[in-house]
Amino acid sequence: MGCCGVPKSADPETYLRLACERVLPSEGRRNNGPQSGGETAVISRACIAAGTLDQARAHQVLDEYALAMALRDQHRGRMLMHRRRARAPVEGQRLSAHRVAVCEFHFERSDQHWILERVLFADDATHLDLSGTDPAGQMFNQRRRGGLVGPGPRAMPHKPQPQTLTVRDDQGTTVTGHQGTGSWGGGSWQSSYRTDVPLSPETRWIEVDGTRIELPERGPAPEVHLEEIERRDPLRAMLYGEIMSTDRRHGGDDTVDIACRALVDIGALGEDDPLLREIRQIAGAVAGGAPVPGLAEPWASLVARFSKTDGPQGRLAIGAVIDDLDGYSIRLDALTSDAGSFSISLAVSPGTPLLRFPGVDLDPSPIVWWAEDDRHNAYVAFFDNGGGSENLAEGQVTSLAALDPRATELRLLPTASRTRAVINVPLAGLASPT
Amino acid sequence: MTDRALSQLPAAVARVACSEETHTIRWEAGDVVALDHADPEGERTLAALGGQSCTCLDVLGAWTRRRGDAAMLSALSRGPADPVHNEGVRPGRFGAYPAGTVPRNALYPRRGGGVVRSGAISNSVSMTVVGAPTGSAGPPASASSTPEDDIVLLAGLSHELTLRLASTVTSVLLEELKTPKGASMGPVLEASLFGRAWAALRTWLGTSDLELDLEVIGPDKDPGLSWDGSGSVHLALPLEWVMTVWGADLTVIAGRFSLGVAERDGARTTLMSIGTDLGPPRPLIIEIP
Repeated sequence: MGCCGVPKSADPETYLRLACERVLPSEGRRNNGPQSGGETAVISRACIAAGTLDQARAHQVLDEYALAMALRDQHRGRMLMHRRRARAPVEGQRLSAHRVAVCEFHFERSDQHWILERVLFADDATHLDLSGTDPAGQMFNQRRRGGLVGPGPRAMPHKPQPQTLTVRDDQGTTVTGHQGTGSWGGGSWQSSYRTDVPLSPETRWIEVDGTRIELPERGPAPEVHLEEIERRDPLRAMLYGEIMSTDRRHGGDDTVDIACRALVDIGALGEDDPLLREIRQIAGAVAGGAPVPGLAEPWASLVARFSKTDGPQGRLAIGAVIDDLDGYSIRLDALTSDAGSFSISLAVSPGTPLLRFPGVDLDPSPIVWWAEDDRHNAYVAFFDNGGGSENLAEGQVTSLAALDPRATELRLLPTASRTRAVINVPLAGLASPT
Repeated sequence: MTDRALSQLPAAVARVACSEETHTIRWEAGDVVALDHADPEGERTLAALGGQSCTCLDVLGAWTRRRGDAAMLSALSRGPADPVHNEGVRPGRFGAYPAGTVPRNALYPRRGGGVVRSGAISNSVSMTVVGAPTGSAGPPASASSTPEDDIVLLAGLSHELTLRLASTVTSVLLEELKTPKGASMGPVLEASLFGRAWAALRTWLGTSDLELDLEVIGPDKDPGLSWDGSGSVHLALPLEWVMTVWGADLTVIAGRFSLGVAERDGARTTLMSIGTDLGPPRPLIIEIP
């Protein structure tokens, strides 16, 4: 018997189909949870990367079983059918950020306490992130969360945030900001607003519903450049991709083990193949969070900070745009650091790298969010929360480890299959941990 | 060989809501028949020219197009323990989300409401859909119909009838397997055999987490089953088992698991079967006097 109960078969398509048969019965889904079935996508990736199964054929098999699943479990079936659409080309847009201001400006409006957290000046609009609390509520001090949620037990009235805002700049332009994504509950709310006309990025202040807010001084935008990356052997690239899989990060199947077992079962690799030994060593170190002797870079530098909780605290504006990273336009808005990790608020178009469905997507995220600092530490971040459309998604990626408090510069390295972007972010302004 | 095998399977029927009435679809010897339509071919021609279709005609059209479609074996039920629910499943609509949005709900409108026609009702067999050759496109699908729509429609027919549909598709694919370009059917047929035998064994042996080690054997080899009560069940079956045993609803008879059909002679069928004691296979005779 092969991995996860899949019967061994030297024929890759038979192996994949038998894996699909294994996850189809309803009692199997109940036992294994809603993400059951993700192993079939992993097996297909392994077979394709090993060159033993044509990609079109593998996807055809998975599509057949997606329909079979839809006939037995409509919710799961719908998710699986979604990935077919995810394979279709999506038209993206070029993102822009002339200026990003991150702040924590507190002010009173009506009977609520508001906080302006971010202002983004783009080509076509100005975006504001606001939060608010009711008079008796606690001060809102959580990190901004994307997505829509219903009211909590101590809920404010339905949608306590205003639907529109009046916003003005020092050039005399007055515009209306319309509410976008938002959430509320527990006596507080957060919302993003988008103006119908862009405000001047040169403005020294903005007014929000009549309250003037002085903006932080405009700093230089970080320089962005692209670097070609060394082409890896497809099999190694796939296995590295499984180590960095969002599915693993979010508690799904152990995709590395499934991929390794599949490669052995179909005869693509021997059980004692050096590549498998290397991959299992890296995966074990990343999952265990402990350095392992002989671990190659960048993995050794990545794991080194897993146990640290000494990260600096604070929030920095980034305001950088990557025009085209293997077809994706990326806007990096801000960096937020705390003792245990750091997050990058960002937007991506097309939005697919941020719209992940663990256990459902056929391929891992096309972008891996690597970073490194000037203390020779490596970091990797995973999509944490957010949402949007296939055209544009916004959210944040969060690192597995805390920033080194002695680092003075962070190099963000969003890495696609052929290219990576390099953005140097000075860390001055983050507070050392107390 | 396979045509003969199909002709030996019992006919099966399904009732469908059609033209504000309950109509009957019948499978017989590999063909699907709409019993309540006097001139379904003429109606289908009219429908293709812009007239109204109805469920029976949709079924006939779908079956003609999907008779040799390997995806049918993935979609159709694996047996009584694997119920299929096609209501609300509209694959053609999965691609119809508003542009640029992420799908957020699972349910879609039920297929084809209000496509009703008036016409003569007949109890006689009025049309037989002869199986289209493999690869034939068959009659044109309606404007909104997709291959998945066809499969969803057929998968929702009665359990007994869908067994015969699986038998028929298996027979078509077994024939294709014999051709130089038919090797790709091997994995499909093996997975179909695995899924159907595994589902039956789990129910028969009362073990939901049963592991199955399937050995696909040639039609001339003796099938067998062995299990020591733990670990994997070893089952040796030919690909034809899906067509001749499972598709005939003969998988478990009188508490015995059928490994194959030893002989068919008119109203008498002799199965090679094994009991839950997993003793040696023994003949089990079914005879309709």
